[in-house]
Amino acid sequence: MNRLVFCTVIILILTVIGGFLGIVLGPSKLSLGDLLNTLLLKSDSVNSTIIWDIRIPRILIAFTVGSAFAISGVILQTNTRNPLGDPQLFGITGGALIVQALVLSGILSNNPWFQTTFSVIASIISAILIFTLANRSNVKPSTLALIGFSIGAMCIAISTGIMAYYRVFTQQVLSVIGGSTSNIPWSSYFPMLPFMLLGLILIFAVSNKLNVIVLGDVISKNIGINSTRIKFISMISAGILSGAAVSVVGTVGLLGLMAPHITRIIVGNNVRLILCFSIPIGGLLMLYADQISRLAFMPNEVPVGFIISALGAPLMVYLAWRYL
Amino acid sequence: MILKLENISFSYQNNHLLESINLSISVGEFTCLIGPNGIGKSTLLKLIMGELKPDKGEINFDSDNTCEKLRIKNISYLPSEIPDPLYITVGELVKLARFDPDSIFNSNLTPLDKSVIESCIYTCNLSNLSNRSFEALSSGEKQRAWLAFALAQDRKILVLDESINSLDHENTDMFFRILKKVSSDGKAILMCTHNLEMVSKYADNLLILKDKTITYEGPSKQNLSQMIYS
Repeated sequence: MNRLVFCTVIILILTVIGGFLGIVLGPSKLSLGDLLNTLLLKSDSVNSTIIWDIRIPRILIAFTVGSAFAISGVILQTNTRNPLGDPQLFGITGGALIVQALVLSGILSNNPWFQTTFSVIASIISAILIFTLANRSNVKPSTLALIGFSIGAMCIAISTGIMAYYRVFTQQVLSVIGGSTSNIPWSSYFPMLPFMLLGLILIFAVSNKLNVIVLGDVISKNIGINSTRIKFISMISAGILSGAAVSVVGTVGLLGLMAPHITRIIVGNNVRLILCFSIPIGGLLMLYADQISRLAFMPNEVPVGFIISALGAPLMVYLAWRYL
Repeated sequence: MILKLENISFSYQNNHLLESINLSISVGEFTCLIGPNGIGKSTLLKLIMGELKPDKGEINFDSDNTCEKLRIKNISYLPSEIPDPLYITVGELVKLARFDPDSIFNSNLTPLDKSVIESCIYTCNLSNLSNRSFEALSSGEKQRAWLAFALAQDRKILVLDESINSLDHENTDMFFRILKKVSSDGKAILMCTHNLEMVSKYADNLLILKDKTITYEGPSKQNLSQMIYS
Protein backbone atom coordinates (compact mmCIF):
# COMPACT_ATOMS: atom_id res chain seq x y z
CA MET A 1 0.00 0.00 0.00
CA ASN A 2 2.82 2.39 0.88
CA ARG A 3 4.27 1.73 -2.50
CA LEU A 4 1.05 2.88 -4.15
CA VAL A 5 0.89 6.03 -2.05
CA PHE A 6 4.49 6.74 -3.00
CA CYS A 7 3.69 6.22 -6.69
CA THR A 8 0.70 8.50 -6.43
CA VAL A 9 2.82 11.27 -4.90
CA ILE A 10 5.48 10.91 -7.59
CA ILE A 11 2.80 10.97 -10.29
CA LEU A 12 1.26 14.13 -8.85
CA ILE A 13 4.65 15.86 -8.68
CA LEU A 14 5.50 14.84 -12.24
CA THR A 15 2.11 16.05 -13.44
CA VAL A 16 2.61 19.46 -11.84
CA ILE A 17 6.12 19.78 -13.28
CA GLY A 18 4.99 18.61 -16.72
CA GLY A 19 2.07 21.02 -16.70
CA PHE A 20 4.31 23.87 -15.58
CA LEU A 21 6.83 23.17 -18.35
CA GLY A 22 4.01 23.04 -20.85
CA ILE A 23 2.68 26.42 -19.81
CA VAL A 24 5.92 28.34 -19.25
CA LEU A 25 8.29 27.13 -21.93
CA GLY A 26 7.84 27.58 -25.63
CA PRO A 27 8.85 29.58 -28.68
CA SER A 28 7.38 32.77 -27.22
CA LYS A 29 9.28 33.59 -24.05
CA LEU A 30 7.04 34.32 -21.12
CA SER A 31 8.38 35.54 -17.79
CA LEU A 32 6.87 34.27 -14.58
CA GLY A 33 5.34 37.70 -14.16
CA ASP A 34 3.65 37.51 -17.55
CA LEU A 35 2.39 34.10 -16.64
CA LEU A 36 0.86 35.15 -13.34
CA ASN A 37 -0.62 38.23 -14.96
CA THR A 38 -2.25 36.19 -17.65
CA LEU A 39 -3.48 33.41 -15.42
CA LEU A 40 -4.83 35.66 -12.71
CA LEU A 41 -5.77 38.91 -14.40
CA LYS A 42 -6.11 38.02 -18.07
CA SER A 43 -4.38 41.30 -18.85
CA ASP A 44 -2.41 40.94 -22.08
CA SER A 45 -4.37 39.51 -24.96
CA VAL A 46 -1.45 37.96 -26.92
CA ASN A 47 -0.09 36.16 -23.88
CA SER A 48 -3.59 35.19 -22.93
CA THR A 49 -4.11 33.56 -26.32
CA ILE A 50 -0.78 31.76 -26.10
CA ILE A 51 -1.52 30.35 -22.68
CA TRP A 52 -5.25 29.74 -22.74
CA ASP A 53 -5.74 28.73 -26.36
CA ILE A 54 -2.43 27.10 -27.27
CA ARG A 55 -0.49 25.77 -24.32
CA ILE A 56 -3.15 24.72 -21.83
CA PRO A 57 -5.31 22.80 -24.30
CA ARG A 58 -2.17 21.14 -25.61
CA ILE A 59 -1.25 19.90 -22.14
CA LEU A 60 -4.73 18.56 -21.54
CA ILE A 61 -4.88 16.93 -24.96
CA ALA A 62 -1.53 15.20 -24.51
CA PHE A 63 -2.51 13.87 -21.10
CA THR A 64 -6.00 12.71 -22.06
CA VAL A 65 -4.90 11.05 -25.27
CA GLY A 66 -2.00 9.31 -23.52
CA SER A 67 -4.41 7.92 -20.92
CA ALA A 68 -6.82 6.72 -23.59
CA PHE A 69 -4.13 4.82 -25.50
CA ALA A 70 -2.73 3.37 -22.28
CA ILE A 71 -6.08 2.02 -21.12
CA SER A 72 -6.79 0.55 -24.55
CA GLY A 73 -3.44 -1.19 -24.35
CA VAL A 74 -4.23 -2.65 -20.93
CA ILE A 75 -7.56 -3.91 -22.21
CA LEU A 76 -6.03 -5.54 -25.28
CA GLN A 77 -3.21 -7.17 -23.33
CA THR A 78 -5.66 -8.57 -20.81
CA ASN A 79 -8.32 -9.67 -23.27
CA THR A 80 -6.09 -11.31 -25.82
CA ARG A 81 -3.68 -12.66 -23.19
CA ASN A 82 -0.91 -11.24 -25.28
CA PRO A 83 1.94 -8.99 -24.14
CA LEU A 84 1.86 -7.40 -27.60
CA GLY A 85 -1.65 -6.02 -27.01
CA ASP A 86 -1.77 -2.49 -28.37
CA PRO A 87 -4.62 -0.62 -30.09
CA GLN A 88 -2.41 0.17 -33.05
CA LEU A 89 -0.71 -3.21 -33.39
CA PHE A 90 -4.08 -4.96 -33.21
CA GLY A 91 -5.54 -2.73 -35.90
CA ILE A 92 -8.17 -1.07 -33.72
CA THR A 93 -7.02 2.46 -34.56
CA GLY A 94 -6.91 1.59 -38.28
CA GLY A 95 -10.55 2.44 -38.91
CA ALA A 96 -10.24 5.75 -37.10
CA LEU A 97 -7.12 6.55 -39.11
CA ILE A 98 -9.02 6.09 -42.36
CA VAL A 99 -11.69 8.44 -41.03
CA GLN A 100 -8.97 11.06 -40.35
CA ALA A 101 -7.66 10.63 -43.87
CA LEU A 102 -11.14 11.11 -45.30
CA VAL A 103 -11.63 14.25 -43.21
CA LEU A 104 -8.30 15.77 -44.28
CA SER A 105 -9.08 14.91 -47.88
CA GLY A 106 -12.32 16.82 -47.62
CA ILE A 107 -14.54 13.80 -48.20
CA LEU A 108 -16.00 13.73 -44.68
CA SER A 109 -17.11 16.80 -42.76
CA ASN A 110 -14.41 18.34 -40.60
CA ASN A 111 -16.90 19.25 -37.89
CA PRO A 112 -15.09 18.00 -34.76
CA TRP A 113 -18.16 16.28 -33.34
CA PHE A 114 -18.78 14.39 -36.58
CA GLN A 115 -15.12 13.59 -36.89
CA THR A 116 -14.83 12.17 -33.40
CA THR A 117 -18.08 10.24 -33.66
CA PHE A 118 -17.09 8.66 -36.98
CA SER A 119 -13.67 7.77 -35.59
CA VAL A 120 -15.19 6.14 -32.55
CA ILE A 121 -17.65 4.18 -34.68
CA ALA A 122 -14.84 3.00 -36.98
CA SER A 123 -12.76 1.93 -33.99
CA ILE A 124 -15.65 0.10 -32.38
CA ILE A 125 -16.16 -1.83 -35.62
CA SER A 126 -12.47 -2.81 -35.64
CA ALA A 127 -12.67 -3.73 -31.96
CA ILE A 128 -15.70 -5.96 -32.54
CA LEU A 129 -13.84 -7.62 -35.40
CA ILE A 130 -10.87 -8.38 -33.16
CA PHE A 131 -13.23 -9.55 -30.42
CA THR A 132 -15.01 -11.92 -32.79
CA LEU A 133 -11.73 -13.40 -34.00
CA ALA A 134 -10.27 -13.66 -30.50
CA ASN A 135 -13.39 -15.30 -29.18
CA ARG A 136 -13.21 -18.30 -31.46
CA SER A 137 -12.00 -21.04 -29.21
CA ASN A 138 -8.84 -22.15 -30.97
CA VAL A 139 -7.30 -18.85 -32.00
CA LYS A 140 -3.79 -18.51 -30.66
CA PRO A 141 -2.71 -15.12 -29.29
CA SER A 142 0.03 -14.97 -31.92
CA THR A 143 -2.46 -15.60 -34.74
CA LEU A 144 -4.57 -12.76 -33.46
CA ALA A 145 -1.54 -10.47 -33.37
CA LEU A 146 -0.73 -11.39 -36.95
CA ILE A 147 -4.29 -10.64 -38.05
CA GLY A 148 -4.40 -7.34 -36.15
CA PHE A 149 -1.01 -6.31 -37.43
CA SER A 150 -2.04 -6.99 -41.01
CA ILE A 151 -5.31 -5.10 -40.66
CA GLY A 152 -3.40 -2.20 -39.10
CA ALA A 153 -0.86 -2.11 -41.92
CA MET A 154 -3.65 -2.20 -44.48
CA CYS A 155 -5.45 0.71 -42.81
CA ILE A 156 -2.28 2.81 -42.72
CA ALA A 157 -1.73 2.06 -46.41
CA ILE A 158 -5.33 2.96 -47.30
CA SER A 159 -5.31 6.20 -45.33
CA THR A 160 -1.91 7.26 -46.66
CA GLY A 161 -3.13 6.40 -50.14
CA ILE A 162 -6.28 8.48 -49.74
CA MET A 163 -4.26 11.45 -48.47
CA ALA A 164 -1.74 11.08 -51.30
CA TYR A 165 -4.49 10.92 -53.91
CA TYR A 166 -6.18 14.05 -52.59
CA ARG A 167 -2.84 15.85 -52.23
CA VAL A 168 -3.13 16.53 -48.51
CA PHE A 169 -0.17 18.59 -47.24
CA THR A 170 2.76 16.46 -46.12
CA GLN A 171 2.81 18.16 -42.75
CA GLN A 172 -0.81 17.16 -42.11
CA VAL A 173 -0.17 13.60 -43.27
CA LEU A 174 2.78 13.31 -40.88
CA SER A 175 0.65 14.73 -38.07
CA VAL A 176 -2.00 12.06 -38.54
CA ILE A 177 0.34 9.13 -39.12
CA GLY A 178 2.87 10.22 -36.52
CA GLY A 179 0.47 11.67 -33.99
CA SER A 180 0.66 15.36 -33.25
CA THR A 181 -0.72 17.55 -30.48
CA SER A 182 0.22 20.87 -32.03
CA ASN A 183 -2.31 23.56 -32.95
CA ILE A 184 -5.37 21.68 -31.83
CA PRO A 185 -8.16 24.04 -30.78
CA TRP A 186 -10.44 23.49 -27.80
CA SER A 187 -13.26 22.73 -30.22
CA SER A 188 -11.46 19.60 -31.43
CA TYR A 189 -10.69 18.49 -27.89
CA PHE A 190 -14.15 18.79 -26.34
CA PRO A 191 -15.87 16.08 -28.43
CA MET A 192 -13.35 13.56 -27.12
CA LEU A 193 -14.37 14.06 -23.50
CA PRO A 194 -17.85 12.46 -23.43
CA PHE A 195 -16.48 9.44 -25.30
CA MET A 196 -13.56 9.24 -22.90
CA LEU A 197 -16.01 9.28 -20.00
CA LEU A 198 -18.17 6.59 -21.60
CA GLY A 199 -15.13 4.38 -22.24
CA LEU A 200 -13.95 4.78 -18.65
CA ILE A 201 -17.37 3.98 -17.21
CA LEU A 202 -17.61 0.82 -19.31
CA ILE A 203 -14.17 -0.46 -18.42
CA PHE A 204 -14.35 0.31 -14.72
CA ALA A 205 -17.75 -1.36 -14.52
CA VAL A 206 -16.08 -4.65 -15.50
CA SER A 207 -12.58 -3.95 -14.19
CA ASN A 208 -12.88 -6.24 -11.20
CA LYS A 209 -13.73 -9.20 -13.41
CA LEU A 210 -10.90 -8.58 -15.85
CA ASN A 211 -8.58 -10.23 -13.32
CA VAL A 212 -10.47 -13.48 -13.77
CA ILE A 213 -10.53 -13.29 -17.58
CA VAL A 214 -6.78 -13.83 -17.47
CA LEU A 215 -7.45 -17.43 -16.40
CA GLY A 216 -9.23 -18.29 -19.65
CA ASP A 217 -12.84 -18.96 -20.59
CA VAL A 218 -13.35 -22.37 -19.01
CA ILE A 219 -11.96 -21.40 -15.62
CA SER A 220 -13.79 -18.05 -15.71
CA LYS A 221 -17.04 -19.88 -16.35
CA ASN A 222 -16.32 -22.26 -13.49
CA ILE A 223 -15.81 -19.28 -11.16
CA GLY A 224 -19.17 -17.98 -12.36
CA ILE A 225 -18.15 -15.26 -14.78
CA ASN A 226 -19.35 -14.86 -18.33
CA SER A 227 -16.00 -14.02 -19.88
CA THR A 228 -17.48 -13.37 -23.32
CA ARG A 229 -19.59 -10.52 -21.99
CA ILE A 230 -16.74 -8.99 -20.03
CA LYS A 231 -14.45 -9.19 -23.05
CA PHE A 232 -17.08 -7.68 -25.32
CA ILE A 233 -17.72 -4.73 -23.02
CA SER A 234 -14.03 -4.06 -22.50
CA MET A 235 -13.22 -4.30 -26.22
CA ILE A 236 -15.99 -1.79 -26.96
CA SER A 237 -14.40 0.45 -24.35
CA ALA A 238 -10.98 0.08 -26.00
CA GLY A 239 -12.57 0.97 -29.33
CA ILE A 240 -14.25 4.08 -27.95
CA LEU A 241 -11.13 5.31 -26.14
CA SER A 242 -8.63 4.75 -28.92
CA GLY A 243 -11.02 6.00 -31.61
CA ALA A 244 -11.64 9.21 -29.70
CA ALA A 245 -7.90 9.68 -29.14
CA VAL A 246 -7.04 9.12 -32.80
CA SER A 247 -9.64 11.66 -33.88
CA VAL A 248 -7.76 14.34 -31.92
CA VAL A 249 -4.07 13.53 -32.48
CA GLY A 250 -3.83 10.76 -35.08
CA THR A 251 -2.09 7.50 -34.25
CA VAL A 252 0.64 7.30 -31.63
CA GLY A 253 2.71 4.15 -31.90
CA LEU A 254 4.13 2.21 -28.97
CA LEU A 255 2.36 4.20 -26.24
CA GLY A 256 -0.48 1.71 -25.85
CA LEU A 257 2.07 -1.07 -25.67
CA MET A 258 4.56 0.63 -23.37
CA ALA A 259 2.32 2.28 -20.78
CA PRO A 260 0.64 -0.95 -19.56
CA HIS A 261 4.00 -2.70 -19.18
CA ILE A 262 5.52 0.19 -17.26
CA THR A 263 2.43 0.34 -15.06
CA ARG A 264 2.53 -3.39 -14.40
CA ILE A 265 6.16 -3.20 -13.37
CA ILE A 266 5.29 -0.42 -10.92
CA VAL A 267 1.98 -1.57 -9.40
CA GLY A 268 1.96 -5.35 -9.90
CA ASN A 269 -0.44 -7.71 -11.65
CA ASN A 270 -3.86 -6.60 -10.41
CA VAL A 271 -5.68 -5.52 -13.57
CA ARG A 272 -7.83 -2.93 -11.84
CA LEU A 273 -4.81 -1.25 -10.29
CA ILE A 274 -3.06 -1.34 -13.66
CA LEU A 275 -6.09 0.34 -15.23
CA CYS A 276 -6.16 3.07 -12.57
CA PHE A 277 -2.45 3.81 -12.76
CA SER A 278 -2.14 3.50 -16.51
CA ILE A 279 -4.30 6.63 -16.76
CA PRO A 280 -1.70 9.00 -15.26
CA ILE A 281 1.27 6.96 -16.50
CA GLY A 282 0.04 6.99 -20.11
CA GLY A 283 -0.86 10.65 -19.70
CA LEU A 284 2.56 11.56 -18.31
CA LEU A 285 4.47 9.64 -20.97
CA MET A 286 2.57 11.55 -23.61
CA LEU A 287 2.86 14.87 -21.77
CA TYR A 288 6.64 14.66 -21.39
CA ALA A 289 7.14 13.33 -24.92
CA ASP A 290 5.11 16.30 -26.09
CA GLN A 291 7.36 18.72 -24.22
CA ILE A 292 10.34 17.19 -25.99
CA SER A 293 8.57 17.35 -29.34
CA ARG A 294 7.85 21.08 -29.00
CA LEU A 295 10.92 22.26 -27.06
CA ALA A 296 13.85 20.20 -28.30
CA PHE A 297 13.78 21.47 -31.86
CA MET A 298 12.40 25.00 -31.31
CA PRO A 299 11.03 26.74 -33.27
CA ASN A 300 10.39 23.62 -35.35
CA GLU A 301 8.41 20.64 -34.12
CA VAL A 302 8.46 16.90 -34.59
CA PRO A 303 5.13 15.05 -34.22
CA VAL A 304 4.95 13.69 -30.68
CA GLY A 305 4.27 10.14 -31.90
CA PHE A 306 7.74 10.01 -33.40
CA ILE A 307 9.27 11.13 -30.11
CA ILE A 308 7.31 8.46 -28.24
CA SER A 309 8.51 5.78 -30.61
CA ALA A 310 12.09 7.02 -30.83
CA LEU A 311 12.59 7.36 -27.08
CA GLY A 312 10.10 4.68 -26.07
CA ALA A 313 11.70 1.95 -28.13
CA PRO A 314 15.00 1.83 -26.19
CA LEU A 315 13.06 2.04 -22.92
CA MET A 316 10.80 -0.80 -24.04
CA VAL A 317 13.81 -2.87 -25.09
CA TYR A 318 15.35 -2.34 -21.67
CA LEU A 319 12.13 -3.21 -19.83
CA ALA A 320 11.55 -6.31 -21.94
CA TRP A 321 15.13 -7.39 -21.32
CA ARG A 322 15.02 -6.70 -17.61
CA TYR A 323 11.50 -7.55 -16.47
CA LEU A 324 9.25 -9.26 -18.98
CA MET B 1 -23.64 -40.33 -3.51
CA ILE B 2 -23.17 -36.74 -4.57
CA LEU B 3 -23.15 -36.98 -8.35
CA LYS B 4 -25.02 -39.53 -10.38
CA LEU B 5 -25.27 -39.95 -14.13
CA GLU B 6 -28.22 -41.94 -15.36
CA ASN B 7 -28.53 -43.36 -18.82
CA ILE B 8 -26.50 -40.56 -20.46
CA SER B 9 -26.08 -40.68 -24.25
CA PHE B 10 -24.23 -38.23 -26.38
CA SER B 11 -23.52 -38.06 -30.08
CA TYR B 12 -21.27 -35.71 -31.98
CA GLN B 13 -21.94 -35.08 -35.66
CA ASN B 14 -24.18 -38.15 -35.87
CA ASN B 15 -21.48 -40.28 -34.23
CA HIS B 16 -22.67 -42.06 -31.14
CA LEU B 17 -19.83 -41.33 -28.76
CA LEU B 18 -21.37 -42.28 -25.45
CA GLU B 19 -24.31 -44.59 -24.89
CA SER B 20 -26.32 -45.23 -21.72
CA ILE B 21 -23.64 -44.16 -19.28
CA ASN B 22 -24.41 -44.82 -15.64
CA LEU B 23 -22.02 -43.80 -12.93
CA SER B 24 -21.91 -42.22 -9.53
CA ILE B 25 -19.27 -40.61 -7.40
CA SER B 26 -19.29 -40.12 -3.66
CA VAL B 27 -17.80 -37.80 -1.10
CA GLY B 28 -14.58 -39.08 0.39
CA GLU B 29 -13.73 -41.12 -2.65
CA PHE B 30 -11.06 -40.68 -5.27
CA THR B 31 -12.58 -41.94 -8.52
CA CYS B 32 -10.52 -42.40 -11.64
CA LEU B 33 -11.93 -42.65 -15.12
CA ILE B 34 -9.72 -44.58 -17.50
CA GLY B 35 -9.98 -45.82 -21.04
CA PRO B 36 -8.23 -45.69 -24.41
CA ASN B 37 -7.49 -42.41 -26.18
CA GLY B 38 -10.34 -40.72 -27.98
CA ILE B 39 -12.98 -42.86 -26.33
CA GLY B 40 -14.82 -39.83 -24.92
CA LYS B 41 -13.49 -39.42 -21.39
CA SER B 42 -13.05 -35.67 -21.76
CA THR B 43 -16.46 -35.46 -23.40
CA LEU B 44 -18.00 -37.18 -20.42
CA LEU B 45 -16.41 -34.64 -18.08
CA LYS B 46 -17.67 -31.80 -20.29
CA LEU B 47 -21.18 -33.22 -20.04
CA ILE B 48 -20.87 -33.19 -16.27
CA MET B 49 -19.66 -29.58 -16.41
CA GLY B 50 -22.55 -28.50 -18.62
CA GLU B 51 -20.22 -27.54 -21.45
CA LEU B 52 -21.98 -30.10 -23.63
CA LYS B 53 -25.60 -31.24 -23.40
CA PRO B 54 -26.45 -34.93 -23.37
CA ASP B 55 -28.90 -36.23 -25.99
CA LYS B 56 -30.72 -38.05 -23.26
CA GLY B 57 -30.32 -39.07 -19.66
CA GLU B 58 -30.03 -37.20 -16.41
CA ILE B 59 -27.22 -35.85 -14.31
CA ASN B 60 -28.24 -35.61 -10.68
CA PHE B 61 -26.40 -33.63 -8.10
CA ASP B 62 -26.96 -34.26 -4.38
CA SER B 63 -29.63 -37.02 -4.65
CA ASP B 64 -32.30 -35.63 -6.93
CA ASN B 65 -31.39 -32.09 -7.76
CA THR B 66 -31.19 -31.72 -11.53
CA CYS B 67 -30.57 -27.98 -11.61
CA GLU B 68 -27.49 -27.56 -13.80
CA LYS B 69 -26.43 -24.20 -12.37
CA LEU B 70 -26.44 -25.52 -8.82
CA ARG B 71 -24.43 -28.56 -9.88
CA ILE B 72 -21.78 -26.49 -11.66
CA LYS B 73 -21.51 -24.16 -8.67
CA ASN B 74 -20.51 -27.15 -6.59
CA ILE B 75 -17.84 -28.53 -8.90
CA SER B 76 -14.30 -27.30 -9.40
CA TYR B 77 -13.15 -28.18 -12.87
CA LEU B 78 -9.68 -28.36 -14.33
CA PRO B 79 -9.80 -29.12 -18.07
CA SER B 80 -6.96 -30.92 -19.78
CA GLU B 81 -5.18 -28.04 -21.43
CA ILE B 82 -5.47 -24.77 -19.60
CA PRO B 83 -3.57 -22.01 -21.40
CA ASP B 84 -0.96 -20.45 -19.12
CA PRO B 85 -2.18 -17.19 -17.65
CA LEU B 86 0.12 -14.22 -18.25
CA TYR B 87 1.44 -11.97 -15.54
CA ILE B 88 0.18 -13.67 -12.43
CA THR B 89 1.91 -15.17 -9.42
CA VAL B 90 0.97 -18.48 -7.84
CA GLY B 91 -0.47 -16.67 -4.82
CA GLU B 92 -2.53 -14.35 -6.99
CA LEU B 93 -3.82 -17.28 -9.01
CA VAL B 94 -5.01 -19.16 -5.94
CA LYS B 95 -6.55 -15.97 -4.54
CA LEU B 96 -8.75 -15.68 -7.61
CA ALA B 97 -10.40 -18.94 -6.59
CA ARG B 98 -12.12 -16.97 -3.83
CA PHE B 99 -13.33 -14.32 -6.24
CA ASP B 100 -16.97 -13.43 -5.73
CA PRO B 101 -18.53 -13.16 -9.21
CA ASP B 102 -21.38 -11.02 -7.88
CA SER B 103 -19.16 -8.31 -6.51
CA ILE B 104 -18.63 -5.25 -8.67
CA PHE B 105 -16.16 -3.28 -6.64
CA ASN B 106 -15.27 -5.05 -3.44
CA SER B 107 -12.65 -7.70 -3.94
CA ASN B 108 -11.31 -7.88 -0.41
CA LEU B 109 -10.82 -11.32 1.03
CA THR B 110 -12.20 -12.38 4.40
CA PRO B 111 -9.89 -13.97 6.99
CA LEU B 112 -11.57 -17.29 6.16
CA ASP B 113 -10.70 -16.84 2.48
CA LYS B 114 -7.11 -16.09 3.38
CA SER B 115 -6.72 -19.14 5.57
CA VAL B 116 -8.27 -21.40 2.92
CA ILE B 117 -5.89 -19.98 0.32
CA GLU B 118 -2.90 -20.48 2.54
CA SER B 119 -3.78 -24.03 3.45
CA CYS B 120 -4.39 -24.99 -0.19
CA ILE B 121 -1.04 -23.55 -1.19
CA TYR B 122 0.52 -25.56 1.61
CA THR B 123 -1.33 -28.75 0.70
CA CYS B 124 -0.04 -28.52 -2.84
CA ASN B 125 3.59 -27.98 -1.77
CA LEU B 126 3.73 -24.47 -3.15
CA SER B 127 4.42 -22.47 -0.01
CA ASN B 128 7.83 -21.29 -1.14
CA LEU B 129 6.61 -20.53 -4.66
CA SER B 130 3.64 -18.31 -3.91
CA ASN B 131 5.39 -15.15 -5.11
CA ARG B 132 6.77 -16.84 -8.19
CA SER B 133 5.36 -15.88 -11.57
CA PHE B 134 3.21 -18.65 -13.03
CA GLU B 135 5.14 -18.68 -16.30
CA ALA B 136 8.35 -19.43 -14.42
CA LEU B 137 7.03 -22.69 -12.94
CA SER B 138 7.88 -26.19 -14.09
CA SER B 139 5.02 -28.21 -15.55
CA GLY B 140 4.60 -30.19 -12.34
CA GLU B 141 4.39 -26.97 -10.35
CA LYS B 142 1.93 -25.47 -12.82
CA GLN B 143 -0.31 -28.46 -12.41
CA ARG B 144 -0.15 -28.20 -8.63
CA ALA B 145 -0.83 -24.46 -8.83
CA TRP B 146 -4.05 -25.18 -10.73
CA LEU B 147 -4.88 -27.88 -8.21
CA ALA B 148 -4.37 -25.40 -5.36
CA PHE B 149 -6.65 -23.02 -7.24
CA ALA B 150 -9.35 -25.67 -7.60
CA LEU B 151 -9.05 -26.70 -3.95
CA ALA B 152 -9.27 -23.10 -2.79
CA GLN B 153 -12.66 -22.85 -4.46
CA ASP B 154 -13.68 -25.26 -1.70
CA ARG B 155 -16.43 -27.00 -3.63
CA LYS B 156 -17.83 -30.42 -2.91
CA ILE B 157 -16.68 -32.06 -6.12
CA LEU B 158 -13.42 -31.81 -7.98
CA VAL B 159 -13.35 -32.85 -11.64
CA LEU B 160 -9.96 -33.11 -13.32
CA ASP B 161 -9.11 -33.93 -16.88
CA GLU B 162 -5.54 -35.18 -16.86
CA SER B 163 -5.86 -37.23 -20.03
CA ILE B 164 -3.14 -35.31 -21.84
CA ASN B 165 -0.77 -33.95 -19.24
CA SER B 166 2.25 -36.07 -18.61
CA LEU B 167 4.74 -35.54 -15.85
CA ASP B 168 7.70 -37.44 -14.50
CA HIS B 169 7.12 -40.17 -11.95
CA GLU B 170 7.94 -38.11 -8.88
CA ASN B 171 5.64 -35.20 -9.79
CA THR B 172 2.82 -37.53 -10.80
CA ASP B 173 3.10 -39.41 -7.55
CA MET B 174 2.99 -36.17 -5.55
CA PHE B 175 -0.05 -35.03 -7.53
CA PHE B 176 -1.95 -38.27 -6.87
CA ARG B 177 -0.91 -38.27 -3.22
CA ILE B 178 -2.38 -34.81 -2.77
CA LEU B 179 -5.61 -35.84 -4.48
CA LYS B 180 -5.86 -38.93 -2.32
CA LYS B 181 -5.45 -36.86 0.82
CA VAL B 182 -7.94 -34.25 -0.31
CA SER B 183 -10.56 -36.86 -1.12
CA SER B 184 -10.19 -38.60 2.20
CA ASP B 185 -10.58 -35.20 3.86
CA GLY B 186 -14.10 -35.11 2.46
CA LYS B 187 -14.22 -34.25 -1.20
CA ALA B 188 -15.51 -36.19 -4.15
CA ILE B 189 -12.88 -36.38 -6.86
CA LEU B 190 -13.39 -37.55 -10.42
CA MET B 191 -10.34 -37.58 -12.61
CA CYS B 192 -9.64 -39.03 -16.00
CA THR B 193 -6.09 -40.17 -16.56
CA HIS B 194 -3.91 -42.62 -18.42
CA ASN B 195 -1.56 -43.38 -15.58
CA LEU B 196 -2.63 -46.90 -14.63
CA GLU B 197 0.19 -47.40 -12.15
CA MET B 198 -0.96 -44.45 -10.08
CA VAL B 199 -4.59 -45.42 -10.45
CA SER B 200 -4.02 -48.85 -8.99
CA LYS B 201 -1.91 -47.30 -6.23
CA TYR B 202 -4.20 -44.46 -5.16
CA ALA B 203 -7.73 -44.64 -6.59
CA ASP B 204 -10.58 -45.72 -4.33
CA ASN B 205 -12.94 -46.23 -7.15
CA LEU B 206 -12.46 -47.05 -10.78
CA LEU B 207 -14.50 -46.36 -13.90
CA ILE B 208 -13.51 -47.90 -17.21
CA LEU B 209 -14.92 -46.29 -20.33
CA LYS B 210 -14.85 -48.65 -23.29
CA ASP B 211 -17.05 -49.31 -26.30
CA LYS B 212 -19.08 -46.13 -25.68
CA THR B 213 -20.08 -47.04 -22.17
CA ILE B 214 -18.83 -47.72 -18.67
CA THR B 215 -17.74 -51.34 -18.66
CA TYR B 216 -16.47 -51.47 -15.11
CA GLU B 217 -17.40 -49.58 -11.99
CA GLY B 218 -15.91 -50.67 -8.73
CA PRO B 219 -12.83 -50.80 -6.58
CA SER B 220 -9.43 -50.37 -8.13
CA LYS B 221 -7.66 -53.49 -9.37
CA GLN B 222 -4.24 -54.68 -10.38
CA ASN B 223 -4.57 -55.92 -13.94
CA LEU B 224 -5.95 -52.67 -15.34
CA SER B 225 -4.35 -52.66 -18.76
CA GLN B 226 -5.91 -56.04 -19.53
CA MET B 227 -9.32 -54.74 -18.58
CA ILE B 228 -8.96 -51.72 -20.84
CA TYR B 229 -7.28 -53.06 -23.91
CA SER B 230 -8.58 -56.61 -24.17
